[in-house]
Amino acid sequence: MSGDTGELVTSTEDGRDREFTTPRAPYVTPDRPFKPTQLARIDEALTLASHETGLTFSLYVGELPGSARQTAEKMFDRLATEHQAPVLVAVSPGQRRLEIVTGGESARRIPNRSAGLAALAMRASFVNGDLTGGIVGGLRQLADSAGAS
Amino acid sequence: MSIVETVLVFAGIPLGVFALFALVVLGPSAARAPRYRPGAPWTYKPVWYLPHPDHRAPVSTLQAAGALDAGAKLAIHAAVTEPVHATGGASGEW
Repeated sequence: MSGDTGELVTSTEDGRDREFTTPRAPYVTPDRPFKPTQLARIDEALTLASHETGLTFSLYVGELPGSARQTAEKMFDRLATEHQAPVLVAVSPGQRRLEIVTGGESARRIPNRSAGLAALAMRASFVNGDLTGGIVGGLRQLADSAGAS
Repeated sequence: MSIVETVLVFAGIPLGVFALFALVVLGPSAARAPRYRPGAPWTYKPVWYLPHPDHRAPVSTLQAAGALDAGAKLAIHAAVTEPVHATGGASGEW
């Protein structure tokens, strides 16, 4: 939901609370990690993937505190309360971690094997320092494996 | 030639050419945002993106609902019936 003002707070394992920005459509502000041209590519990939498949693709870029997988799954559950058939792609460049989370309909349409292949392709780009390319390619691959709605 | 002209021709022009080449060579990389390097710390605030709401519904829903009226825009958002939990996916490290 773009323009949402709420904030998601998840507890980390050491008991501290950490804020995440609420998911919203890509936007440009000075201290964001992507340049406008990169953001435009990401936006297009997200929108196109969701438009084609009927799933809600969501991208998180930032630290995944505590257990990366658990944090990503918590974020997925939060996403699933508001959006139909979500797919969460969470990238933590600082930790060099990448999580793709599916559930419900998206888990049926994107087998873990396909998600693994997408993760592998994203890794290859990230290793070369190409964050945007990896994200865009991964979304493309996930959308292809989910097929049309 | 006066002294001023001499200095301009023999010092000013070479310096100008030098500066031009320096700008052409160094300019683009200075203007570019710092590139992500694996292993470098990530100092940006977290960002969480969703697709634009105008395109949230799948193609088939848009056509069935009469393209892009308010209901179609919210088709996916409004249709959550039961909570879904994370069951699948993949992890990776690099």
